[in-house]
Amino acid sequence: MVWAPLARSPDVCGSLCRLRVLAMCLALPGKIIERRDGPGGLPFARVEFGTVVREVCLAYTPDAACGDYVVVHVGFAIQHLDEAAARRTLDLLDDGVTGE
Amino acid sequence: MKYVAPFRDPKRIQRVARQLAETCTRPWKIMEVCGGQTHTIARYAIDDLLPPQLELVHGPGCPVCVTPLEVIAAAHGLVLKPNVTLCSFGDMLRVPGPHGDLLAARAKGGDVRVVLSPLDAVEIARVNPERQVVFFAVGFETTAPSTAMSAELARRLDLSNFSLLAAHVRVPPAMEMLLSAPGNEVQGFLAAGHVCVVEGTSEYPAIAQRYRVPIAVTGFEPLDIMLGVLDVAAQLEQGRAEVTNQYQRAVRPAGNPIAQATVRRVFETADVPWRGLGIVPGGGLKIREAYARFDATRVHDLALGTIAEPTACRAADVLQGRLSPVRCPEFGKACTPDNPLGAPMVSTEGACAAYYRYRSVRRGAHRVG
Ligand code: SF4
Repeated sequence: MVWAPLARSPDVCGSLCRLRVLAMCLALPGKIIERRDGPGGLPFARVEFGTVVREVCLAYTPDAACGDYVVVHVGFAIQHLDEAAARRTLDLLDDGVTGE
Repeated sequence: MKYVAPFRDPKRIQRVARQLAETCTRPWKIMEVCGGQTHTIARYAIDDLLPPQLELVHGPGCPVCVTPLEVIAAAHGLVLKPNVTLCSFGDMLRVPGPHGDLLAARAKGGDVRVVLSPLDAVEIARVNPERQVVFFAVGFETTAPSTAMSAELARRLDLSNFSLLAAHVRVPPAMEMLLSAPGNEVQGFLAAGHVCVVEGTSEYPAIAQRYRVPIAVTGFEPLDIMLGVLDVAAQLEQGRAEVTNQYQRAVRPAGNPIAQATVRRVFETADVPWRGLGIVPGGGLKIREAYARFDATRVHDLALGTIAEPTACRAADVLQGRLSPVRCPEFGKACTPDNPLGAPMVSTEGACAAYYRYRSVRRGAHRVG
């Protein structure tokens, strides 16, 4: 789980739960493991964040499929994650091109 | 997780730190707009990786912190009504208001619920038709689509007992306001990546040009922050003021058009007050006439007056990057996360809370490298 390392510092233990799920501009990458229909005709999915699975609305990423990674914020997938773009960022850096 | 671990890799982060040290020849002040980024900076002690000439100042990007006191007071008023259930995000419910925080109103018999998504509030309304359920909706462009969909879902389900106490704000107008303030010292911006996930990057070139500030759209992992800082610093050194996207895995230039369309259907842009900044022209959203039946201020006939700020808290200066939290005389003394005097000490995105939490572990487990 993304925030798990926080558990190691005693002064934040009590806040761990809050930190993980309630920060408002916090949006986490998750993997869609199952799609389903929800209330009001909205598409939903079960999305995996490390070891945690949550119900997420796909109304804003309607063509996201099982196995896709999405950015999730307050119960909504707000964008697909682009694997090629992530790779590109890291490759540019690893090749020493960034910043030149 | 392929979208997390590589962006926390100490080796890569230090490589960027070295490039940054080579790049920076003069003092620069760069503002990270979003409180989530402030959180990352405090958590990973990113300040320690920066050249001494480069200063990161923290911006107003904490939704809970900029929600006006009068809206919090209105929420208190609602909770005291016997048939009202008030739902919001945990942080919002813990901000001290004129009558204590909203969670404390539970002790007086108020029905206050923490939700993780606005849709949870719609569900509470659906299964409790005898209750008037109000979702206290705060947040930036990132969060507005979720609130808009809650109104849309309530409309589709024909719920007459669901409404929004909406205090959504828009970030680019606040950036402009900071830049045009007398005595502004901010020379470049890390724009809030998740705001841009929804709204795209089209609003920024005009700001970059008008105020001659480089703007890097930046993500939230430590490597993201470093790449954003490196890009802005390189631009400043070269005398450029462009908009770049350092968060390409999540941000498309056009944003998310479906989310934008839903937000525009439910809300329209308005001049709204930001706590600590005052009225920001075009700086927020108000519910459109067509969705008036989901507007809690109309349903419950709420009048929002103005309320004087408590004097000891320096939140206004902290939110504008004029005061580092540790320089507030109350920091860590009268004001702690367990007993916050102001909103920036409550929210995980508040600069005061971020500094307080990580000050003692700065040299510990989270330090990069
Ligand atoms: S430390 Fe507390 S009192 Fe000082 S500015 Fe931050 S929230 Fe306000």
